[in-house]
Amino acid sequence: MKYGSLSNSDKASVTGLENRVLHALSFAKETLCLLAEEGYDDPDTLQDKILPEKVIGETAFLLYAASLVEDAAIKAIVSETAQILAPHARSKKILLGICLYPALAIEYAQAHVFLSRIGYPDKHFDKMLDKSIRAQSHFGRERPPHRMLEQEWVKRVWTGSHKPGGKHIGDVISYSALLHLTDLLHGTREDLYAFTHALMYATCFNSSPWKIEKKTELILDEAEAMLARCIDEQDYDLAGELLLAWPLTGSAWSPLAAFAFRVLMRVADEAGFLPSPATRIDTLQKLEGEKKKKYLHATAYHTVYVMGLLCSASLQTGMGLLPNISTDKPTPKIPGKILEFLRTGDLKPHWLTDFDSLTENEKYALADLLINIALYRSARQKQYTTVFELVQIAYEEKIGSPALVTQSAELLERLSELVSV
Amino acid sequence: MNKHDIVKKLLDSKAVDFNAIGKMVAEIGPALSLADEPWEGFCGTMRTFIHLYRLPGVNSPLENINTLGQVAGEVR
Repeated sequence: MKYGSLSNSDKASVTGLENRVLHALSFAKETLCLLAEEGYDDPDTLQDKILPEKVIGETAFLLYAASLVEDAAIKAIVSETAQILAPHARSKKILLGICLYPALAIEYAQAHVFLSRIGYPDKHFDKMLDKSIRAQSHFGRERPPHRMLEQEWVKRVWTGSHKPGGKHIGDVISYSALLHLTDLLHGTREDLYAFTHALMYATCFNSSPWKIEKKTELILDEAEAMLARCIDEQDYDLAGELLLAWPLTGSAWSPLAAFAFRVLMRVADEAGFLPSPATRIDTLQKLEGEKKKKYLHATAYHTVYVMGLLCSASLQTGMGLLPNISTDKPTPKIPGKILEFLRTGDLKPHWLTDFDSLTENEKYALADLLINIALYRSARQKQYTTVFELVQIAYEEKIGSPALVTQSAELLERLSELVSV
Repeated sequence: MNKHDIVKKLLDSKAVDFNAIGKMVAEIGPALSLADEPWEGFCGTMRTFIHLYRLPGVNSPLENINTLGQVAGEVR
C-alpha cells in the first residue's frame, strides 16, 4: 500500500498541500480496511482500545473536510473512501445505536451525516435519526460547551441549514473556551482541545460559520500562545488542530503559524506521517504482518487525519501558499537573549533545527514564538525569576502573545502576594 | 477534622488492610483490567480513599522521527 510520496511534495506550495491531503486519504482508506470492523484491541501492545465508531466518525469528518477542496484527484479518492466507509457508517449496529440511545444519536449518526453531505445519502438512516432527535430523551446527556457545539454543528451539516445561530448558539459559544481565555501556563491538553474543537464547530469548518463575539485577533493571539507550547513539546496532534485557527477564521498566516506549519511538514516528511508519541518503535519492531499494520494505523491515524484536515482547510480557504517568514523590524538582541534560555539543558525539540536553518531576518520575525516558549517553559519549571525577566522583555520590546504575557504577569503578582501573606 | 485527618485516623486504626487489598487485586486485577467496563466500583466503601490509576503513555517522548520513519516504512 502506498500513501503517496510526501518527500516529493513542494513543501510550501498548493501542490504540496494537495499531496498531503491525498496522503491522509490514502492512509484513511487502509485504516478503514484494518480497523472499521472491530476497532483496535491488541493485548500484545500498550495501546488503548479503540472503538470502531471512533475510527468511522473521524474518517467521515476527514472526508467531509477534504470534499470541500476543489481538486479532481482529491474528490476521486474521497469518493472511493466514502464507498468503503458507507457500509460501516450505516451498519445495523449503528442504526440500533441511533434507535436505542437518542441522547447519543448524533454521535452514532455522525458518519452518516457527513456521507450524506458529500453525496451519499440514505433515507432510512435519515428517518431513524429524525425520530431519535425528536425523542424526549435526546437532550438527556449533559455535555461541556464544545461538545454541545459539536451536536449543533453536526445537525447543521445534516440539515444543510445556513441560518444564523440565534440566542441558543450564541449562549453556548459564550460558555465555551472560545470566549473564556484558556489558562495558557497551566492548562491541560483537554483545555487546549476544548479550544480547538469549539473553534472547529463554531466556524462550522468554514461552511456557514456562526458568529463568534470575540475579535479574531484575540482568538489567534491565544492560539499562538498554545501553538508555541505544542511545537516545543512536539505535540503535533494539538499543534495541527491549533493551526486550523488561521484558515477557519480566514486569517493570513502569521510568521509563528507559518513556521509551525513548516515544522509539522518537515517532521511528517522525515517520519513518513505526522507522528504522535503513541507509536512506539519497539512495539512496531516486535509485531509482524497484519498486527503490525493495525498497530501503526491505530496509533498514527489520528495525527495523520489532523494533517489532512489542516491541509484541506488551508486549500479550501485559498491559504495553501505559506508566506515567507520575514520582518521589517529587526530586533537583533531579543532572539539571542531568549535563545540562551531555550538552549540550556538537553532539550532539542525539532523546531530548533528548523529555526537554526533560518536567516537572521527570518529569526527576528519569530521573536513571538521564542518568548512564548520561554515563558511557558520557565513558568512550568517554576523559574519565576526568569518569568519576571521575560515579562520585562516582552513589555519593553512588545513581543509575545499578549494574553500569555498578561497571564505571566498576573502569576508573578499573585506570587508576590503569597510571599507577603 | 479535615479529609487528611480522616485518612490518617483510618490508616492509624489499621482498618484498611492493604495486604488483603493487594491479594485481592492480584487475584482479580488481570481479568478486570481486560474487561470492557472500566474498573471503578470494585470496592464502593473505599472509593474516596483508595484509587488505582493507569496512566497510559505518560512521559513517553516522541520517538526519533528518522528511525520511526524507517520502521513504519516497512509496513508500507
